[in-house]
Amino acid sequence: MINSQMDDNLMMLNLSQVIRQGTDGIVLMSPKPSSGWIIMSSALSSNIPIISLDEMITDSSGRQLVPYIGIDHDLAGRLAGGWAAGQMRKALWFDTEPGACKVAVLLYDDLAGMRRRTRSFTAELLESTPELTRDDCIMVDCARGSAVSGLLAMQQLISEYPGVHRWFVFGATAQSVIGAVKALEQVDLAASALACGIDGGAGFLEFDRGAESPYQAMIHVDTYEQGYRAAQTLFDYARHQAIIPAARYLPTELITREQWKVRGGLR
Amino acid sequence: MNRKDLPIQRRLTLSYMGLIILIVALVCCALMAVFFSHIYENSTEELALRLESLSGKIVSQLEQVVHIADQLSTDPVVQQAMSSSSGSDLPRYLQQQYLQQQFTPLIAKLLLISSSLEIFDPLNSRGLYRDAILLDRTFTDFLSSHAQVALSPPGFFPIELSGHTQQEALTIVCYQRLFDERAILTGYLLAVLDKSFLFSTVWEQMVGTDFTGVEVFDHQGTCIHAAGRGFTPEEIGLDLAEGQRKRTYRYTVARDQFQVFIQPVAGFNWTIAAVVPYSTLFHRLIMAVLLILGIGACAVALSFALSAVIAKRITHPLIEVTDAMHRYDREQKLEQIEVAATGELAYLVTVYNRMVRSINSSMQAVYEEQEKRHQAQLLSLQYEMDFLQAQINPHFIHNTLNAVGYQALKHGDDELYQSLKAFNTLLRASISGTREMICLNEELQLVSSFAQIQRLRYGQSFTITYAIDEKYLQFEVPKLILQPVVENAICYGETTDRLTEIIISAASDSGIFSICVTDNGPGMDRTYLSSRHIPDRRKFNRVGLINIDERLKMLFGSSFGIEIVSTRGEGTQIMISMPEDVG
Repeated sequence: MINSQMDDNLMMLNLSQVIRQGTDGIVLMSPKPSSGWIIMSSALSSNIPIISLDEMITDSSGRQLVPYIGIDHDLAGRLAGGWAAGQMRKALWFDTEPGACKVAVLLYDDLAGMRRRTRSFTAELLESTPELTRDDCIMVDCARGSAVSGLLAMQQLISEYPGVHRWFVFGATAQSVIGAVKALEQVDLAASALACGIDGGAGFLEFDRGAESPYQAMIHVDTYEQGYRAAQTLFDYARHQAIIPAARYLPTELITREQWKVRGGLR
Repeated sequence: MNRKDLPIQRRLTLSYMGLIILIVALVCCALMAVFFSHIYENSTEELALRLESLSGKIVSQLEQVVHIADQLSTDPVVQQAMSSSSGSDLPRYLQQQYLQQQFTPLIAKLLLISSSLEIFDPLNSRGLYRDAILLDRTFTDFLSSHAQVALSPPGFFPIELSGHTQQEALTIVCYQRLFDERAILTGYLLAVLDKSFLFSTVWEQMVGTDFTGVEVFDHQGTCIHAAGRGFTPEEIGLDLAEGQRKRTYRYTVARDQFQVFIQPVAGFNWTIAAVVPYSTLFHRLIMAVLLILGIGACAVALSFALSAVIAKRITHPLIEVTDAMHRYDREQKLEQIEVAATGELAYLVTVYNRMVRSINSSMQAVYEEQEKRHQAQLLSLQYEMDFLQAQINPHFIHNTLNAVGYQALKHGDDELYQSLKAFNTLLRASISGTREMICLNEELQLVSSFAQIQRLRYGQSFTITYAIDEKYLQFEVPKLILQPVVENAICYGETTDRLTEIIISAASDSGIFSICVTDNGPGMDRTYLSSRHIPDRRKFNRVGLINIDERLKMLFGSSFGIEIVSTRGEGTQIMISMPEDVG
């Protein structure tokens, strides 16, 4: 297991090293699309199977280059958008204070999958809530999707929109949403906010933190299942020469805080 | 079973085993004694190096931040903006020039504050955020100090949330002073660091080690980051006031012993502390001990096999000798053995085989001797039977001869009487008693009687000279041993042209007594004749001589008997040999 720290150059260096060492297979976790062609050429020249997790590697025309295992990012975004629309309507945000609510969309556009999540979320939300306009959905760059970048991004939004008291925060990653939640807590806006993220498990810690957190739902990505299926696929390929499917989508579900409590943790 | 009852091979193997186990035990003890402290020191050294590596990585990342501050100090755009207090574009400039171009995930935000505490950031220069930044205790302490760099406790820059734990905190702020080329303070740089990224290497360093807890403390003892088992400086006896020195020591917390490792984060006033349960460390030592014992056990097992093989190889000749002796004990069968051996065992086997050969040879000689004696007894019995068979007639003849002799004497025929008397004497000697041995003197009288009888036929054609020393007259000789020889000399030595002279002599030399009968008869070709080559010629009593030879050999052994030396025209000499002392 090699941590490339989301650095393209470091990842390519590590990739070339493991190929030189004669590895039997490579699983790439959330690789950046910019390195797609290099990875593809490495895979072809070395005849080493490569599986991409969480992020589909495509060329500039959108053609898939490497087998993919992960969730359907569009479906995840639409699920979150639909849930957001329902929650805002349920909380009567549009009835009591029209125009006093905004949707913060924390972008992480370095990765295509993350971009599709936020775009499909916004599209689904706007389709489901005619009360909202595109201007109400504020896109803010959240580099690396980390908690600190979410915190800083949300601070910027709070500062830019001092009159907004109801924030719905959606981010391509749960970490960035959690950071944004901290920023809301700093200025006591958390109680009137709602948040939703997509992640493999960090959001569950926020679920456990307390009822006052606006982090109410999360699109769960079963990272264990991702890793297991990737390893099994590579094993089958190496042992039985089984064909590696071009894409394998994992079940995508939205889990609310209440469902989490009822469930008693991860299944 | 008594140990002494065990076969020698097992005894030898057990002795070897005992010796080897003793040696292995001593070696293992010595190894454990030598390596115990060595392993302990190596283990602690390895863990300390891990911690040092972790510290190095943290320092390396923090130095990136310091490096950016150095760059900012000499950046003309920054200097110009800060000196003219027109820094509205600075955030964008910093973002583009320093965060995007020199992409480092560690730094989330760069914030410049002038020496007059003007914040060059549109967001944080306002109200709530401005106050939070400028009134932050770490910043105020930094301002009042002369430190070049200061690091804040973990938090949520710029506003602290109450009641959060250090695990929940997201940011660490690195405060730095900026100077121009004249070393005049131009402002301050606040680098907002991603705490989770800064310490992302902690878990990596813990993986594969026995660390159960790693914590980073600042100089006030505040926990900056914790991974694994949590603890406070007091719990592990860490006194941060006494200075940060790299060290390791053993400490007891709630009756549990821990090995504590301390590693300063050089230049940043942080200290990394890590704990390893002493039991875990001891377990590692136990593993080493078990490894040594395992190797020892393998050595013992190998030695056992080797000692069994060596013992078998050494004792194999002895066992073969023992088995041969058992066979002799059971079957009275003494056999030679063929075993590959060296040294003393080869000598033992050789001597044993030589002894067996010697004994077998001796036994063979004894058997042969017994056989000969047996044959002699049989022959003697045969003679006795023949004698008994013939005894009736000789006695009848003896009585008859006495009666005839009386009639000859009565009629004055003295010659006839003397002849009959001699014949009777000879006859009596041949049939009288069971005495096998008689004195030479008696034997000579028999020869004399025989000669007298022969004169009836040969007259005075022969003479017999007894050239015998008196000392030999009492020597015992087999009865009638000379008569056939003298008969041969008389009959075979008879010539028409001269007198046959027969000389009987006796001699003794080196325990061998020999009687020699020499005649000057016609003789035979110059040949050395033994009894086996006695010619079968007319008048020559071959059977008589062979009987004498066989009698002598049966009585005294094969080295005795008769020898014949004859030369044609000169005569014949027959030598009878026997032991001097035949008693």
